Amino acid sequence: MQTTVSFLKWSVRAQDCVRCILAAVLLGALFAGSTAQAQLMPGGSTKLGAVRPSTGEDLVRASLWVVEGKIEASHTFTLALVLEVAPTWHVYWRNPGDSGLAPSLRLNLPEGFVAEGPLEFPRPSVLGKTDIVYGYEGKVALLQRVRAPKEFSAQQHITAKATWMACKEICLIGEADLAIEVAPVTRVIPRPQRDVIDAARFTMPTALTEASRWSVHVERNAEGEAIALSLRGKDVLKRGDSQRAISFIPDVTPGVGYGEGKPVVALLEGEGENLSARISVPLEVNSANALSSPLRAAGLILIGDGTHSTDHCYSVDVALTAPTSL
Amino acid sequence: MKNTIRTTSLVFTLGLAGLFTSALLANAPVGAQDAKAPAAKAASGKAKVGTAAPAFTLNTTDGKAWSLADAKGKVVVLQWMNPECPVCRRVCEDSTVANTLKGVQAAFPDAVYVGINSSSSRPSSFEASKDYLANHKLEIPMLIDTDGAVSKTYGAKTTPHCFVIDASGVLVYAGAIDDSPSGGAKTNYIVAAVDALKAGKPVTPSETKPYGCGVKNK
Repeated sequence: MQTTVSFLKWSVRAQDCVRCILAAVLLGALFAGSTAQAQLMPGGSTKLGAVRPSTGEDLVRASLWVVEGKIEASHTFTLALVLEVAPTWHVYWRNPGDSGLAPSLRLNLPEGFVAEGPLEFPRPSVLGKTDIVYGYEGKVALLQRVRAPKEFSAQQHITAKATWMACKEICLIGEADLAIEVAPVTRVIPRPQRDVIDAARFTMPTALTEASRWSVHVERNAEGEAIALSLRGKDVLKRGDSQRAISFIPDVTPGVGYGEGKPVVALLEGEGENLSARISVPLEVNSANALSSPLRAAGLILIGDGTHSTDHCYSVDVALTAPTSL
Repeated sequence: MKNTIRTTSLVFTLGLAGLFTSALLANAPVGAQDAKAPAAKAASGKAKVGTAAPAFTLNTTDGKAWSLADAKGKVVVLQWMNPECPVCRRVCEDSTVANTLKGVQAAFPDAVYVGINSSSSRPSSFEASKDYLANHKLEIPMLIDTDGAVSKTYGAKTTPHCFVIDASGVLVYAGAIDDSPSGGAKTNYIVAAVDALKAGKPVTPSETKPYGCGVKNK
């Protein structure tokens, strides 16, 4: 039976905090050197970014974990790539914005293990002042689902190469070779990384297809060409949230541009029970630039600035090849 | 009220002085100096694929003027570069740029391939440009976009962001150099574009998302 991971509560009493810190220190000591969670720390105990960085490894500490704590036969489990970024530097979301490179995780799985779906990114921040930057400061966890085979022997390792670009005034590229033991034995994740992983799971976008309160519609011109993505959300916010910001940030979708020359409209309308969200994203579609992939419009709806537990994030991904209305 | 006027006057005077100084600095070429070289000049219209590429004149790292108009009748490739950008270094070190240049010249032996550095917020990058070309054995001109004006006209966002202009002066491609930000690309978009031009076919894709470091213009 797959272990269920409970989310950490955001508010913890001070007494519990002290206890947690002590526990984290003990756990850290306990798991130092364990093969279950391999970490690359080129800087040793040096504080990230403390010295003038010359490589991306000076700026980001990477580690790999099994979120469920253990791997069971025939079950899907989650790998978490935790990136701890030096203060004032940032790494990128899957669409970095005007420039940048998204982090990547190239897995080398033992026989029978299969990756399910793409690397999942939690809600990013909009960081740029003049340029558009979507990314993360501080710590972030990226998640990858993997299915275990019916039978496997322990003592094997999943190995992976993580790469990232960290930027501030300049950019530096880093990489880490990581490994984690395929063990059907529960391994506890130390508190600092556990918190990052829980935060990532908590802020992972909810697919609009699973959020029945949203409607998605592709507006088309007389020729049937997609010209705008229209999103409406009813009862998606709590009362008193009418002042909260709402925005749309696009994914990278070859052949489809978003709001180039035309503004994206993102509004909260109504009050109280009737509070609703309305987003209209102008689309510029050129199928010749689709790079042989299906035309689609995709991105995230961000509610609030991401600092509140109710600042939800929704993902939308709509095929543009045929008239669509969900 | 009097204080406000005095403050406004001071700000105005300082502003004029600043503009004058900026204009002087903008004209200063980087690298070997050539006092007669003209100032950077960019057309006001924005670059758009399918339309005429905006004219511009910039100084090379040798202080010589280079105008897009001088390449009239030839295929031109513009590649934004920054010696301080690790992605630019990567595409040089793994021969992506050299192979792109080779592919372009295979299709059009008289094609013009130029690098442009618009990193006006990083003057050290301008200074490093000449060595950068020499270190990577790239025998192409590097243009110094002192105030970043040409990068803004072309909408250059990253290094390397590439643009292909056909022999009639029309911008036919804007975007990434290839399909793999981390190396090991399957498709080189620049070579594909010039091959399409050579074959008399439409350039597809004509636009892709560029990858790399920010251009770092002011």
